[in-house]
Amino acid sequence: MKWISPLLSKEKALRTSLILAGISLTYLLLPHGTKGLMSSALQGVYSPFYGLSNRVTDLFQVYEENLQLKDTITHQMLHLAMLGEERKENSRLRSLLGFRETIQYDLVAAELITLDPKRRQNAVIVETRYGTGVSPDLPVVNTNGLVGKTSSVTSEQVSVELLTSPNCRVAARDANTRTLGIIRWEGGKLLRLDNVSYSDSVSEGDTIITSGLGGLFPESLPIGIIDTVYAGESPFFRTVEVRPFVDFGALDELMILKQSGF
Amino acid sequence: MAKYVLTFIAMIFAVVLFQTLFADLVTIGFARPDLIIVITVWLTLSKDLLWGSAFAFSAGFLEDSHNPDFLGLGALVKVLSAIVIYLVSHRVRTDSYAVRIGMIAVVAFVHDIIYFFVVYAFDPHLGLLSIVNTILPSAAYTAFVGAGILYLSERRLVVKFEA
Repeated sequence: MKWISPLLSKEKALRTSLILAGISLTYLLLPHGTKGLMSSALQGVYSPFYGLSNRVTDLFQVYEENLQLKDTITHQMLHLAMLGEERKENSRLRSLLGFRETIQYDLVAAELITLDPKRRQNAVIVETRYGTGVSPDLPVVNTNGLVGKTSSVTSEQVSVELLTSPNCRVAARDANTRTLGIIRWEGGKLLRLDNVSYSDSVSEGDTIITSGLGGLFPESLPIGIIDTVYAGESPFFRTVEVRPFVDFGALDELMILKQSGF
Repeated sequence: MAKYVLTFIAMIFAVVLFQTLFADLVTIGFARPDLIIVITVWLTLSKDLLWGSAFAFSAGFLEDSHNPDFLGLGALVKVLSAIVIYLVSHRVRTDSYAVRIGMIAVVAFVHDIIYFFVVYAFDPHLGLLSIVNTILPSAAYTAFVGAGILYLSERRLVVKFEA
């Protein structure tokens, strides 16, 4: 190592480099809080470039997402076309059998404004376009499933009574076994499927949908999935707890189902 | 001199920009090229240690700013790399193209090993896993990118000389 000493004594560049290494080491050994402040200052210098970097990365992500969405849309359009054919066939068969006509619904988009100040957990206020003809007691859904029903309506604002309201009861059925029941809320994050006797066939993991029997909600709207089934206090009925598909704490855009032609 | 300094600052920003903006987009598996290492080696060998270590220090700090826990680590390891390259260049002939590429690969490998071992608190299992998965392929990738940059820089010098 003797050759380093003469180098150090005559070479300014080597001395400067060692000083730079010493400064780096000092910074590395600084307390976390101080390093955080210095990092922020450095990022301030570099943030315009870093912002650009994030945007370019976002652009690539959006491109990927766009490709996926195009793929999904193509699949959905094919699915929709098939469903349209099946719907026509269903309509023909129903008329042949003399069944009543199924009701057609229009979707009215509604944007969440606030929680209902009087009933924070049970209702939200949404806004719709003027003149959409929304009235009380219409089903409200989002992309995950049934959210609740409209209650009071003003010119543009609508109060939506959520499934997590004691006043909101929905005629429902097990999508697999067709077992009927009534969905209601008793507190907590889960819903209850009432009127399920011990002889009825229900099991955990089954999907619960609207039965359409109450007259208010159309048939087959997804509500949730059976979380637990157990023998409750009642000697006649089992207790069935349902985990709703909708996250009531993270509601955003909602859709109000309005009967076509009204 | 002012022109050189401005070019140097622009180069620091351009390289750090590449490292944070494009390096993730050109990864192959876990291998990620380290342009800061390439330029540090190139500056130290073709210009001077002062340019190489100043570049390593500045670019290392800017890169470290996104990881406050280890602020200074990248700069320290890169400046030490520049010093080691300089010292080795006194004992080994570095005119050869292959030697320079080999140096880039070795420096990238040693740099990443030190960095990863400190970050993983000297955990031998994680360290070994990183060597196989990330460090070795990244060193090879960095050497490949370095070969391209050295080739381009030498070609430009030849063109200048002939002109």
